[in-house]
Amino acid sequence: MLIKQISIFLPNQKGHLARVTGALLKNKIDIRAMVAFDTADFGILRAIVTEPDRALEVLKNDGFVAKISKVVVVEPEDRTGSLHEIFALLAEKGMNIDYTYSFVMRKGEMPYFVLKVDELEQALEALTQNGIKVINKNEINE
Amino acid sequence: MNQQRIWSTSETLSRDEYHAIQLKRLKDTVDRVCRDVPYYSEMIKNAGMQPGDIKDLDDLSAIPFTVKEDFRVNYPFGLFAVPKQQIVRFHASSGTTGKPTVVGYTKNDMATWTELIARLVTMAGVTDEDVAQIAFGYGLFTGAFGLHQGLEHVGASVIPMSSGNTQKQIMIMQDFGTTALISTPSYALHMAEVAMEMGVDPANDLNLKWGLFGGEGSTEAMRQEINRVWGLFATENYGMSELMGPGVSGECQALKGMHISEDHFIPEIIDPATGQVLNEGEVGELVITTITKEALPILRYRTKDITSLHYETCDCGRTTVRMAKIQGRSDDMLILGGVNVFPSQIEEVLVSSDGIGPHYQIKVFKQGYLDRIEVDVELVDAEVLDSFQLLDSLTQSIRNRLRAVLGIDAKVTLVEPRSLARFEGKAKRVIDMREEK
Repeated sequence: MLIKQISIFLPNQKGHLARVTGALLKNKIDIRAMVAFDTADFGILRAIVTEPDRALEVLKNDGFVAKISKVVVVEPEDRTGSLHEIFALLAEKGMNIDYTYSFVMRKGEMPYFVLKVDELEQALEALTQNGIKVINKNEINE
Repeated sequence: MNQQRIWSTSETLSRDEYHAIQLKRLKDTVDRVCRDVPYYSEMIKNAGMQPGDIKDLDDLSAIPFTVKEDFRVNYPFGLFAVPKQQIVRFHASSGTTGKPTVVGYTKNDMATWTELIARLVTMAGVTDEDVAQIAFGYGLFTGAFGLHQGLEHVGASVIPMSSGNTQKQIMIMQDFGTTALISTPSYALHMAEVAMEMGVDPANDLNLKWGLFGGEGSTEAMRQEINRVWGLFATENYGMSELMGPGVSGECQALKGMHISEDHFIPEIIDPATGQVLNEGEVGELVITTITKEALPILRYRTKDITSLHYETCDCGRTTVRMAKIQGRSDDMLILGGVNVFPSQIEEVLVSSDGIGPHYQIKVFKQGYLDRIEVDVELVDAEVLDSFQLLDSLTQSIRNRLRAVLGIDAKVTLVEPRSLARFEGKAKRVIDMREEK
């Protein structure tokens, strides 16, 4: 199953991240994964949240530029080489990973990995067929 | 387009007729100021001239210029040509520093002003069937009252809303069936944003047909944007309180420049650096002489506005001279690394770029010995959030266009929608942080 990810325009301003998290908190939306890299003047914050559609509405109403796109979320096995297997598999199938980031570490369990691939449906199929655990929406909200 | 209405037969005279009217009225004006305004009689004398020296319109160029500073020096009534008892109306411009510029009108001046506004609003498409909402601030500023009188004169139903209270503006538009909007162009764009937030689509849910914009300059791209969001036909008009207020010139529906009422004003274009009069079609600073004003006749006023004059008969049938869209202010001109740039040119590039909103802020500063320019624009298109490359290439493409069109290298920064300042009156979009020259 493909998961909805939310992308938010991030101008380089003090307190901007807190404005985003504040807006989500106010509306009781939980953040499951989040990533933003250091860029000179502006960047993109990506997040997996509970209720992404409502999150988009909330953020847009608060004046943020935001959009929903889809990603694959997988759970690698907890052993050396398991991540390599996932990336190698997609490379072998000729799929390009635009970016990847991981969920917050859970108690004694492996974090989920978010993969943004151009060919999402094919990636989903390839991963499932090769025994890699793909996460569905309900698991994210657990 | 339908046959255009022309308010007055004075808008379709021959060039010879204008010439004769202007010469007679110029002579009268010079005679009168030499008699009734000590400041002008001194100025004319110091220039080695006498009232009778005006034999032809070309002799006008020998008269010294009047500048804004002359109003300040003569504050409040030193330039008035009539006793205060004959004044029926005062207005004043917003003095950003110190005293405002005070202007006054006699009964005849008020009639002239009203007539010139009637010409202007007719050119813009307004008739006695229209409901006109004035969203200029009422008060000492000439804009609101000027348009008000002329709109009533053509029989339009006037709503004197004044500026601000934007949600109420939208409500009144809906409830009164407003068909004509009178405001600054930037306030019109702001009002459209507010309407959208209220769930009102200006183009489909309102009845606007005409937009009469003035009080600040705008670009062709801004006009297109206003036409699109409001679903109306926008024209621009021009004036300044020193000369009368709005009504000096305005666009007709042919959109070939702003018609100047030549039976009341004589326009010239000069080189702002040398003061030399330039030829028809050449770009320079607009200089205007009033030839019918009683209370405050003004000789050769330097408007600081950069434009050009065009004398061929317009498609609308009017024969009055047209001034091109204002390209900038002679004192707003930015010199960036030796390149002359008007903020309006930067605006033109920005407004025609996809993915960003029409508002912007320009910052200029020194880095070492070099001029650096930064342009902040509001991101509106969420689609570019798919990848950082898309976001980055949006700023690169704007930067490249600024370089290609203007020859300047500006750093383009994206900011959030509605985070830049909005202006209800004149927009101040350039912050020059370089040292005073």
